[in-house]
Amino acid sequence: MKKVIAGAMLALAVASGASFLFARTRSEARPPTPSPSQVVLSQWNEIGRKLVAMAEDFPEDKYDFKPTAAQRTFAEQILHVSASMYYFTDPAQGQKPRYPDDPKRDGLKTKAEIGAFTKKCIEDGAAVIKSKGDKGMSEWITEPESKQQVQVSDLAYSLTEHSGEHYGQLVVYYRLAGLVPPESRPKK
Amino acid sequence: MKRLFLISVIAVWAALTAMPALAQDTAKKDAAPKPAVGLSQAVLDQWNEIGRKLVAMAEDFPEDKYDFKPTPGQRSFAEQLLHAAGANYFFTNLVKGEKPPAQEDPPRANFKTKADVVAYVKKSMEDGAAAIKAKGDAGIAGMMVDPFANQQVRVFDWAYGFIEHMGEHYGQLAVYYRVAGLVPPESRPKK
Repeated sequence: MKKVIAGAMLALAVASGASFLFARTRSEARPPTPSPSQVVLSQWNEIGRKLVAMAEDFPEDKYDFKPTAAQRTFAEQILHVSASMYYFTDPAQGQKPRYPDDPKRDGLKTKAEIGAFTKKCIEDGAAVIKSKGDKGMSEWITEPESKQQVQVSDLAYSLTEHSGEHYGQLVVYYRLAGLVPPESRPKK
Repeated sequence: MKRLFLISVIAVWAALTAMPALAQDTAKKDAAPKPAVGLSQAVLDQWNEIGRKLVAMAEDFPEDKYDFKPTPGQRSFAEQLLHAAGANYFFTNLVKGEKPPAQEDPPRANFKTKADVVAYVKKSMEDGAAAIKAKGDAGIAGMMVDPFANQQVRVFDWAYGFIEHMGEHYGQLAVYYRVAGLVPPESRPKK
């Protein structure tokens, strides 16, 4: 139990720029404060890292596993969450999201293709955060569907949370498939 | 598939803007941009949106299934809720300048009934929301110290970390619902 909370806090610390949560003591010098865009980027990349780890780790012969008939398969979950990232990446560049529907599974057939797609979606978002920089995080953009003005960082965080929801679903997929999620395994 | 995708997207935008989802869906393409919300309001909207979804599950799930878990290696439904809600106090307490909770996961034995768990989850969300409101726009952009990492962080970044954390556990519970033979509240037809 303690390990799980420590893991969650570690993820938050990583997201906020602290790499080794429990290695530090109060007496140590406080590390430099990460800039606004660095923090957004860290949180974006942290959930992205966990999704990529699953995409690369899950056995290919189980990629079409789903717990019940009404749910997405493992592969469909990965494709959905990855493609949805463009609801940040594209509007942040003044464009419409490029995937109004989930990419078709038959267009991305292999585990390698899906893993590469996921990586690209995360990298494209990360590149936009970097290019926007600190000043860009507080820029206002108009979301094309709702016509709502939103800050770039808030939109990024909204999609980060969305990624977290699907990551959470996949954690349970792992367990139901008789596997242990990568983040729950003993650290080497 | 398309419907599921749209629901997810609408949820994201509802979280961001706290607007009625259908109103967003039918927004005219040529409408003038809507006024921006303040920084603390944007954080509050996302906090309350994931909080709303977790409370809805807590209230909806049958009490006789509260100790259900898909496999022995996982938390039960109730333990997931208690964990997600309890972890929020690592945000709320610290933002208020208080110590983090002494207990990492509130024990199930201390929250025996569904009503007990629901009340705790609601209070966790309300306490976090109150802390965000109290900070306001200036305060939410201010700095605080993450005592675990001895790291300065912005209050709103700290909040968004916990919003994402809640999302992960909400996602797990959505699968618990399906495996238990139930449909999650957000996936049911809207009345």
